[in-house]
Amino acid sequence: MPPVPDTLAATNRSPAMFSADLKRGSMELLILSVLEGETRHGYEIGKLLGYRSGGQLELRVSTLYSALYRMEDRGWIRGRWVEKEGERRRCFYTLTPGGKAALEAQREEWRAFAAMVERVIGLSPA
Amino acid sequence: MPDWKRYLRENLSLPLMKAHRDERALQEMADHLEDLYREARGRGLSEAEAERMVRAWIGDPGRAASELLEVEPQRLRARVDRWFEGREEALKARGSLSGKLGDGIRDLRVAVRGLARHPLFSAVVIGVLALGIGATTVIFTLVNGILLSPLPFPEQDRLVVLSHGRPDRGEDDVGQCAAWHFTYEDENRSFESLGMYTFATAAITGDGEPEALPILETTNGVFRALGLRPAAGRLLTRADEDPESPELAMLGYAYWQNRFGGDAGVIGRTVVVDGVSREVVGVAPPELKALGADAAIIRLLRYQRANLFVGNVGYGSVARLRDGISAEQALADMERMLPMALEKFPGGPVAAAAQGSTTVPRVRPLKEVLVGSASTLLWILLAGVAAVLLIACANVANLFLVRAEGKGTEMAVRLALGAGRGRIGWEYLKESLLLGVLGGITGLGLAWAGLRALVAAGPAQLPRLDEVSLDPGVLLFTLTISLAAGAFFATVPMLRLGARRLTDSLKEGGRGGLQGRRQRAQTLLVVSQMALAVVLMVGAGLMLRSAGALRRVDTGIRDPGELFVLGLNFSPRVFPDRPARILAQEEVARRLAQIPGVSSVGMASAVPMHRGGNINPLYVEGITDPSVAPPLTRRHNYIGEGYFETLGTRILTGRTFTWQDIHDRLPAVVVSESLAREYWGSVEAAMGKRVSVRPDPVRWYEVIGVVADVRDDGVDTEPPAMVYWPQVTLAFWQGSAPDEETFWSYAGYAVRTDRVETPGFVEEVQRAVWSVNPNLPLLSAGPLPGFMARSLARRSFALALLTVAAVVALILGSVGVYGVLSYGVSRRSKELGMRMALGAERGQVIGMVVRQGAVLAGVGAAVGLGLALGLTRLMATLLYGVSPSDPLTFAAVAGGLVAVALLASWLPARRAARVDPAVALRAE
Repeated sequence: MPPVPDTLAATNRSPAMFSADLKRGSMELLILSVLEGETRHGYEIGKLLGYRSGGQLELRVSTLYSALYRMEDRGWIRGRWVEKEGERRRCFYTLTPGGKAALEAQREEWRAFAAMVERVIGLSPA
Repeated sequence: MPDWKRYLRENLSLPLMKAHRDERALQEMADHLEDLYREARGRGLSEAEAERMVRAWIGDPGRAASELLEVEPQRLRARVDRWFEGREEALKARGSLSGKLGDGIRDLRVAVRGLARHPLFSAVVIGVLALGIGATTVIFTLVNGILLSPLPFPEQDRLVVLSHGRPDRGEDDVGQCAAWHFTYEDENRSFESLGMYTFATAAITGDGEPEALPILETTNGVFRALGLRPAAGRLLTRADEDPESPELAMLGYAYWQNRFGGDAGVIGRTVVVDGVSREVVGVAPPELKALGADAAIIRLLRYQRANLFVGNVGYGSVARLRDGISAEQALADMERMLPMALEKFPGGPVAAAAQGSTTVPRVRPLKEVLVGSASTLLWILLAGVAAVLLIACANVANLFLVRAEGKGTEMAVRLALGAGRGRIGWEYLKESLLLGVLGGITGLGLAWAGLRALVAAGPAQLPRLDEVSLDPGVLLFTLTISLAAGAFFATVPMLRLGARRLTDSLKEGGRGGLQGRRQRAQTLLVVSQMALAVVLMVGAGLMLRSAGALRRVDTGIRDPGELFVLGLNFSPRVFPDRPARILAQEEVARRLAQIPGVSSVGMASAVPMHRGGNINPLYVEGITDPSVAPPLTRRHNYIGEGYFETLGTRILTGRTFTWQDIHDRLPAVVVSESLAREYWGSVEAAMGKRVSVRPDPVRWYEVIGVVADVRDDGVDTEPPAMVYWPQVTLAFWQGSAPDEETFWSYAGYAVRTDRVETPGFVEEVQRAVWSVNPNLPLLSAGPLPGFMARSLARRSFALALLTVAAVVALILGSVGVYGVLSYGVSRRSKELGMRMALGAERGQVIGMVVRQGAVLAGVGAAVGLGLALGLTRLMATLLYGVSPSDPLTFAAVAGGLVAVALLASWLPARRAARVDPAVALRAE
């Protein structure tokens, strides 16, 4: 397991940086990408999202877990309770094949969307 | 450290979520918060600072809770949506999604989504419907296969059964005899062809052990009348009926399939039937089974016409009417021909008793004869399950009413915005039709499984059971009732929607104030449910009382559970020497008695429950005068030593026979109690009186004992008046010489033992029999209770199904009462709160609600009892020892129903009494 960086301490920001709508729209993609190739528990996912975003993406627990459950219902990820020696029982999440496909599709969509938005708002040549 | 789990539980209204998800979310989030807290503390924050920081990660508890709640209902819906999206995509890709089909799919998708949104509601509705539709489908399949569908014979409506009755002697049906049959065949103007037949059991001896199998003995006219074609080889012809021609046989279809694998090479081979070799010339078609039993071998009845006389009745007879001839015309024709029989076939031992003047012919449609006995039973059961289905539908309609109330405002808004009533009606309809169809499909699955179980159990009293199947007619029936049920649910709320002014709903602000009218509709549904439940319960109750009465019946047999019965045919071909035959019969009894655990053995030509014994006139010295009127026919049984002692039948006076009496040819009889009372007034008076079966007795038989009546024909059938003769008699028949001995080749044995059910007992019995002669197959052998139960099979079947139907009806009916009252209570919580605020006692409130339930149940019970009073008459033939309007049953059902209804109302009543006045009032 990679070390979990202490983003909250580093940034000391309140957990609402971007508008909620913007985060909600892309949250699934973000969680899927964090789980790519790794099995992680909820706390770790939250921490990693904060770290990779340089502390700008800090999800409230209810937001994080409702997203996880929704994705589990859709069959994108699967949670499994695991007990490791000396640690408390935790629920570890893994990408399913459906989740991998969804990740690819969403990445592609995001790339196209971002390019389109950039063209429209004039950040890149049409 | 703060208890984060407790914090979450108290601040997020998580209990609203499903339990398993609730617990998991709570645990995961609490762990998460705990990790954050530890981390913050690890960085040196104070307890208060760390706690404040962690709370920031939760944010507004209300919002957090709603975020989590949102996840819940989407589970099933998401899946349904994905499936439909997939289908739509696929259709689009093929370019076939257009116009109506596209609309249809979209409608279906919306409907399915609607159901998926309320999975519990949908599951309950589909489950309730499936039970109702499944049960109705099973019984309808039986009605369809057994009663409605034509017999498997060409132009089956021209097929009739010929028989005769002697109404002046209380003999309703004596069947056919050869003399009448040939008279009709020679002289008739009404029949295209006619035949006579009888079923028997024969010993089929092949290379291995002898087997007792059912055989059909028939004239060739039966094949012509039924229009049969052979499945292989040829049919037996009229020429084969000549007694001088070789002995031939046909195989039954099932026997051919099972024993010979349907091999056509079996034609020309030989089978040995009762010791006679017969060449197989053909295989009968499977349809022949519809006549009754599934015969393994079919052989012809062959007569020397010169020897025939009127008598020896009891044969079956089937005829095909000529085109255009009615059953009435055929009957008139038979009345014309009947007197001719005595002229054509004069003489015979019982000619005097069979005077044509007292005999009347009967003509009945073949189908009525074959399925008539099952008809009442099946129609009653169909009515029963249909009632259950109606109750189920009423329950579902009630659920729909409650839901429609919730939707009322939405619908009103849409109406106001210009949506057509038709479109809105369609919204309701498609959802309920979908539920109906899903219920129907599930029900069909249940019906399929139920039918398989039923056919496997094979209730003895259901004819044609092998012809029963879920055919297209049944599927159409199921589809129709499913759609009708679906339409019914939609119609009830739609009628209400149509009736109300749409502004009402809007004004009420969605609270739906039209309680009165909705409540009336609901009340009507519940009262009808209760009434139907009462009818079913009365039906089941009467069957239960009949079963109880039957259990108390004195059969004349002590501890039947300890009796094992079997039959043996000592055929003249196996035992050509007649005295040796009776010795062998006695020897079998002795060998059976030597089996360990056997306490006694009795022998008789007819053991109980085997419909045996023969019927002959009885002349009683000093009472019957043959010159005045032919005497009544009586049942006769020919017994050996120890018969009554083994059955445990009480010997009321005198004694019974010993083997020595039989060797001495003692001229004595034993009579049953009812026979003794009928002729001589009392049991004692019968002793020493004399009887005979011939009008000119050269030898009278003296009564040496009287025994209790035995229910020989079934537990539910009155015991016949019976004469018991010694197994061997002298000068028995009219015309026989004074020293001529009469023997009986069939011998039944009753074995009393505590080992009836012990494994291996049958084999020991078999070995004992075969030690006397290895060519004796056991005929209808088994524990006596099995044969007794068979006589009650039709009633047991009706009892089981009606009881299940009644219990389901009662449960559904009570749920209905509960639902209505409970909904009423929740609607009236303000009123109830007000009453309690104004000083009403808890008891008063409970009483008020329970009273409402009692009124519903009372009205339902009253209507139901009235209906039952009219309907139970139809089931009179199924009842025993209880009147169709048995007051005890009616009272018990009414009482039971009201009690259950009170219980169902007590639950909502208790809730009503717990209403907190302050809360109820504030809610407004």
